[in-house]
Amino acid sequence: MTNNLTRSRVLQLYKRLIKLSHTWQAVDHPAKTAEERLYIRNETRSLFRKNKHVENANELEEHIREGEARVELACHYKNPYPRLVNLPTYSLPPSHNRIRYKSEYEVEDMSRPIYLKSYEIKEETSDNEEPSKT
Amino acid sequence: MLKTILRHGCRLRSVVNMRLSAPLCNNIHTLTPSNVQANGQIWPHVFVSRRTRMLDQFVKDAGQMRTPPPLTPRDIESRVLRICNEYDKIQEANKNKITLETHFMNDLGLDSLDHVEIIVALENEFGFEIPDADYDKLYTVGNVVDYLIKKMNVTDRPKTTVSSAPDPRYDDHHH
Repeated sequence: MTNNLTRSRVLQLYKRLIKLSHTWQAVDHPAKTAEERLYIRNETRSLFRKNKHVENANELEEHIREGEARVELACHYKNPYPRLVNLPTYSLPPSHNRIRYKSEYEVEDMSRPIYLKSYEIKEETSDNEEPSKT
Repeated sequence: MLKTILRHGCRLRSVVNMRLSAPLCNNIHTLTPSNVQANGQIWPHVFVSRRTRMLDQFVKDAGQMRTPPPLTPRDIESRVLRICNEYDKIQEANKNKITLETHFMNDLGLDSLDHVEIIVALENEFGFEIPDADYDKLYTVGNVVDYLIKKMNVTDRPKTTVSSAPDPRYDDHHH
């Protein structure tokens, strides 16, 4: 149940991100300011729309935390792109040859940082393809 | 102050930029005798008056850049409609059919996130913050226009400005 408080929090976060995309200045690569602005705008749109149907209150709270974390990180490091992480130690990448047990999924979920919550890892379909993050 | 100098200056100095061809010089002699000034120079009255008008128009335009024209409700409405048309999520079919009664969510199929984006665009256009509590009132274009009119105290007749210039053409701006 999305009550009005969480709804307004989500909309405020969205508004903050849209305003950020209007006033963003790229510090490391000044020529890429327009590109990074477009990236911020498209990322907010796609991720917010992808998670629009989340109903569980805990999940919602975590998604709001994810959005706020990304905003803070982007403003602090002047870099809108998220820092990707590797697999946790003592774990193998998913592949179709090997059965993955539930504990392995849990370890992987726990090890991923909050700001990468909306990103998924696709399972490998063949040995030649690399797993891609959407 | 500058415009008075320009206005008087261009009438006293000769028009150096205008190059008169020889046959034209001959024809000017046939103009009315009022063209002849005291020192015997033929002052091409028609060229001077056009240049004065151009300079006056420049001065008037420069002055108008200092104070923007006062807002009218129709002005606000046209700006709001332009912003709505520029929003890229709206389908092409609906683009030019946006009227005062279109509801953002029911008629145009937008959701609350798009609504927020449109309001942010309006904030950027009109230059003031719209608080979150007012978002519920702004679901149709007509409501948006009324809200903006109320917030910016726009009346139908623009206020008459008091100025010290004797010329009514320059009453739009102040020195």
